[in-house]
Amino acid sequence: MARRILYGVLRPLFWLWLLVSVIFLLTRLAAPTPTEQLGHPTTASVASPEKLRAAQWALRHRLGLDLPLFYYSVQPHPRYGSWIPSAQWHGSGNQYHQWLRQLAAGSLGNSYRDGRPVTTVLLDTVPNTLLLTLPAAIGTIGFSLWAGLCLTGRRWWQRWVLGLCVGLDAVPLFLVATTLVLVLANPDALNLFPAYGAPEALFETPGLWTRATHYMYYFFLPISSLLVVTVPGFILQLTAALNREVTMQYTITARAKGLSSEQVLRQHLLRNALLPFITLLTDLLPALLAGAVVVEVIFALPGMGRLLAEAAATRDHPILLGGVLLIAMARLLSYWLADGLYGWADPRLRSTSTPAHA
Amino acid sequence: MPKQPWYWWVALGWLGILLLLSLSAPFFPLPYQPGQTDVYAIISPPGASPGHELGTDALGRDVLTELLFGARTLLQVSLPATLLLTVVATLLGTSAGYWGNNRWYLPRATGVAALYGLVICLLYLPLTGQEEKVVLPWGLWLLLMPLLKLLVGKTRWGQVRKPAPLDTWILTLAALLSSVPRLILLVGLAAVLPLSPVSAVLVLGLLFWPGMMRLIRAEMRRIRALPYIEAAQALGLTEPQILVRHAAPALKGLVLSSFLLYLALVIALETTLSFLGIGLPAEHASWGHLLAAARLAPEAWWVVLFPGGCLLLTLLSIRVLAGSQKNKAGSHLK
Repeated sequence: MARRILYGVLRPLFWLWLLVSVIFLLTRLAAPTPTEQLGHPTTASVASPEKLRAAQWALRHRLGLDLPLFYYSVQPHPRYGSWIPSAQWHGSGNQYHQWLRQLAAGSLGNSYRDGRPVTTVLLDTVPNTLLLTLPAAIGTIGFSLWAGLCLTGRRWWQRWVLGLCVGLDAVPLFLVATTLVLVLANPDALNLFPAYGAPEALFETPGLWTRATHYMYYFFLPISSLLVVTVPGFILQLTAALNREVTMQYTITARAKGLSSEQVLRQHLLRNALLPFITLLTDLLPALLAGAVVVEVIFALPGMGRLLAEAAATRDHPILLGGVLLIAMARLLSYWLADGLYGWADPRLRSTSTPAHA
Repeated sequence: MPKQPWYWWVALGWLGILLLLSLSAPFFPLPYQPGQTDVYAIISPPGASPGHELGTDALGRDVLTELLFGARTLLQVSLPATLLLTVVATLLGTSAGYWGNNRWYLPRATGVAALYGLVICLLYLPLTGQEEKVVLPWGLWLLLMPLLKLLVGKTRWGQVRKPAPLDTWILTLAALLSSVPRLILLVGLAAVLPLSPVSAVLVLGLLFWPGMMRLIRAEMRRIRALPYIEAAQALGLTEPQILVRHAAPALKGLVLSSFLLYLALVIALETTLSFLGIGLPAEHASWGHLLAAARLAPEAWWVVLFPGGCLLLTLLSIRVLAGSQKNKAGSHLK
């Protein structure tokens, strides 16, 4: 058991490390560094070449970019050119090692854009994203469970609702969000909700009621667009599983014992139908975080998704790496959570040696 | 062929029209080019100004032109990317499913040669960014691999055959790629290498195979255990024969239906990226670019309705075809 837990914890961590390392090396290798941006025509015209070079060197030194990138580097051989590459070992004085050491100490470096520590920038934006994704997650689970339970046994309703779900499942999130904005937050159509952003002082207004209504006012459209995209898949999966369980013999036995169909549904069928549901659940949190990128850009919410999109557009690599790391960790967390839930839903899975998602 | 419902024909018809229109887009007498702005007709409603049959968006681009050339982008980027993804996923999925962890025996000599090749690649990869020509020496050094295999293969140690854990390797790679949500991975990569039509195909095709690979691998494992494959092995057929003549026909339906599902996924992903402004360059027409412009002028319903409707119809049509394909494969198995 202990070995299984260790395996389940360490292996995903190893993947995470590998992935983040690859992205780190790629960003440092392939992308122009801020020192090249110093060489823009606007800056070049005011400074002499020597001054510019000195400034570039100082900036490189400050950002630690003057060190070699990795533990080894390869140069062409001085005499034979690239026919015989000569590798050089640098030891721990390289960018990757420094970055890893910083990471172990809990620091992700500073943003290229404004020089603020990445951890602070992320901590500023994460609460806003959680305000969006957590209600969306709870809403997805609650709504799809309710709809799934309502739909079993109602053939006529099932046909129409499932058809609608199949259709909605195909629509990309940005189309849903844009349509909602243009229909419900448009001075030329229905002007019910704000199209842009949330005020800074959203949670400083007095009174619980005003705060709640404010929150609903600004977050209703973003959360509903996330719900429209995630709920159909869940309903489809759950009703398919429930419909399968209805035909099982134990259902007939339970009905024959004299249980009401409500009791059979809630106490016998649901638990068996939950396994595929939990598998979907592992993907819910990452999917919502990815969806947050789109939704926050469209509704101009100051969350992590918009931060990432902006960092990608401006090539702010430290922020981007930090964000990717955080989201990958959220995914790990949901894996472990799902593992626990599998054990709760189906005791037979508690003793198996491999995690269910592998 | 079983009788298809009416919406199947509608879906097929729409995709056919889309294909025809996008193929013939450059031959239409369109007065404007994709990406060209007409400053005299900004946000003009459909039919209001001559030459703009479907109106213009907030930047003065002709909606009809952008629609037609955006459909070409589907054909140039999304379709090749999905084809590449399907090929990669099918190759990896069938090999992981068929050979598993302990059925692919290799002599140690091959392992030694592969290790040598890996070292050469690790040495030459950092060199690629530098000025000198590296491809020729790199290739020549790699040519020594077969020689090495031959030499080591002469020894008794090199002739011992060991199983290669193919399944574990492929699954590890898949787990690595899918540890971050697709969109986030793309956003991260877009900062490193700006997407062009060619690099978009490569990135989408080489990064998003894990999901389909898992499906094909599971199906291949099921097929491998069936008696007729065992019979084929007992008859002494070679592995390529078994895979191509006996396993591939059984896999075909699954590959086709998951190809269609992933096509819808890739189209959605490509338009999303373009919508966010980190996908294809702005002068390359895409329905996502057009929809992004809709935010600038909320009153221009035609900028949302036409590209949004086209996107929705396309995705739904692909879903419908995929669904009927899946049903066919399912009924065939019963």
